[in-house]
Amino acid sequence: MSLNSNPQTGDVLLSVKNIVKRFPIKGGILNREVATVRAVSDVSFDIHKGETLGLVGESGCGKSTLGRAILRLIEPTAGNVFYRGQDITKLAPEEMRRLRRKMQIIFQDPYASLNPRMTVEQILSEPIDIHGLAHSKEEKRKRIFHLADLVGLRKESIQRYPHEFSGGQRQRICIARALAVEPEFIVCDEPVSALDVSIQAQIVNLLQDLQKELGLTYLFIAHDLKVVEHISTRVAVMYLGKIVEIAESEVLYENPQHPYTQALLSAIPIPDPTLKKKRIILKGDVPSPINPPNGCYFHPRCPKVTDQCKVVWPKLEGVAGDSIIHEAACLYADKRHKPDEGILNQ
Amino acid sequence: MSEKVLEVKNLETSFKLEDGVVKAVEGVTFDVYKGKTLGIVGESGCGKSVTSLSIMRLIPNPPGKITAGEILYNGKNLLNFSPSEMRKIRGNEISMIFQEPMTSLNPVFTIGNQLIESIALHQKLSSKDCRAKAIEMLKLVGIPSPASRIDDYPHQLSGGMRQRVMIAMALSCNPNVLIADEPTTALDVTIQAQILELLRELQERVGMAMILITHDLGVVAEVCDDVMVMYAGKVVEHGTVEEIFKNPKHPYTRGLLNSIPTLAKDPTGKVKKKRLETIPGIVPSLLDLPKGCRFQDRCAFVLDGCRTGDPELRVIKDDNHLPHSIRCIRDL
Repeated sequence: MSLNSNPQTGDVLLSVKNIVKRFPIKGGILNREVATVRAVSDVSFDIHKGETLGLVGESGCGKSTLGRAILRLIEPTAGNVFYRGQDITKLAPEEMRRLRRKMQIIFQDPYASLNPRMTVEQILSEPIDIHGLAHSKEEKRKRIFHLADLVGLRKESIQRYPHEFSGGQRQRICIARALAVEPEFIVCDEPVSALDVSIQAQIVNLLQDLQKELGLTYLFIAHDLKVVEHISTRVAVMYLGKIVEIAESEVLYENPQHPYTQALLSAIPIPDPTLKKKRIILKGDVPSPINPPNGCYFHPRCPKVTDQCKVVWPKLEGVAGDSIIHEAACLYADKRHKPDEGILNQ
Repeated sequence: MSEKVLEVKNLETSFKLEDGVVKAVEGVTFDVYKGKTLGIVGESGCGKSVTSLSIMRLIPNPPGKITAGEILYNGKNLLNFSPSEMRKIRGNEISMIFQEPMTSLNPVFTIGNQLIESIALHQKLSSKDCRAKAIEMLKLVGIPSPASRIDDYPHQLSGGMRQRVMIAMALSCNPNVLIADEPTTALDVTIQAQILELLRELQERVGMAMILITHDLGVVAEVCDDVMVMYAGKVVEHGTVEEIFKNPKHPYTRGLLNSIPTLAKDPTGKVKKKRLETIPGIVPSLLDLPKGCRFQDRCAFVLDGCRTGDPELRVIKDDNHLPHSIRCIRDL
């Protein structure tokens, strides 16, 4: 996948509009809401058919919450998610269940996301049964064998229990389970983070092969920037519940505009001892999403901060010189428009 | 090259399991020099953590036991030390940063409490001085307002801060050797960069020797002077960091280096690959090792000879302070 397969002209499969997720913190004698965690604030983006949108950010920035809110595994507080033009946030539970066939998720920890008391065959049968995808036992068996084959598991192994498999193989089982219902869209929530380096490469290749073979669309959530760049068509960078930059993968890594993206990229350790890299070391930790700073959320750690940044909340805007889809939320990014259009933070 | 602080010779650590005895580490030999860093690289289960726990004499017995070898610290064999002698070394002269900052701190004590404990144990200071020293350590590792933070409980700190507390604890008695077991694995890249920078700074200032255990080859390239690659309990390649990254000779080391995705604008000048190279298969179980080379079933260069004889670690280039050696019969 390269710049030629312009995602702008591709069909929009999924469109996220102004999604917000807040978690209340209750306390006191009356168990009233004393504070809110703003996990995701006002995030919008489109995912085009057949592409992989990478979502990166540090732990606690809301990337997993966003992934789950899109599938309504947690209900978003506000905002809409359109799947093929249909607003899924308005669907009744039964309708939503039917639609889940098309939207699946692969979790980070293959040790925790498989039921230890079920064999691989039972694990893979469940989604097939729930959605009534097989009419006879033989048909179901055939489907399961086909799934095992797709993800590179041996046929004999489907009678075994998850503990008999290694981490990489378990992740293959999780992928097979997601594929059992023939989805179009899969949220991959840190699918390789828990795996060893040599196994990571196997799973990344498998995901890419499946995408080509089955025409899948991925939202690929990870904190490993190298893996994300490798697999993604476009990449979105999140910080404290907001997208701060989004662009095609090559463009973002070549020409990062937001200081946070720049710092993230410069922090990647490069496996070459002769190279002495100039590194932007950020000070401090990610602020708490319970009490985010005023103005730009990144300003307390930003090396380029000005007084303006402390009051103005920059909008995600197009960057000059690049394709229209390179957007950054920084007052000092190389903008096409004048930088005075930020909204005053209340 | 500076002086040797720690010499490990033919270390062998076994564990007695229900299904038999497993040698988690076998024939591991290396030296650690003052002011230098040795990186130990390998995938889960290769024996890198067991090696470091053996040095600290923290292998739980039973089921584990150091069955052979010597660990010389300043010329004295740590394996002959009594538990109380060992206690004086541990945390004081050789100290360790554990992998998980979330679980290595006791949640019911303040971080000050835990820091002061190790200082009071090893140094003859009044309780007031201990506290002052603890605050100084927290300041050294870059925790803001350490005088008030010292009374915080671990849950009040973020992952990066907790890891800093672990580092402060490990460094509080000015150790000669620091063993860092995956000190940044649980952390985000920006925090990882902070911690690595901190370790490097402190090493320069205090001149301690360091063993860095990691599976991230990028981190190794940035921090280490020497590298040792382990596979299924044995050292498969050992040499200086420049040599290992420039001329990796063992197929496993090559596989590891090739399976990392490269950035499009990679400063190393490598061309971005459409598809990642992989090492097929998985690490063999230590209970069921193949006869001959342990890497044979995953190796692209396997010969008949690999399946019969267990290859020895042999020197292939000897023009540095540390000879480049590999455990492979082929010359690739």
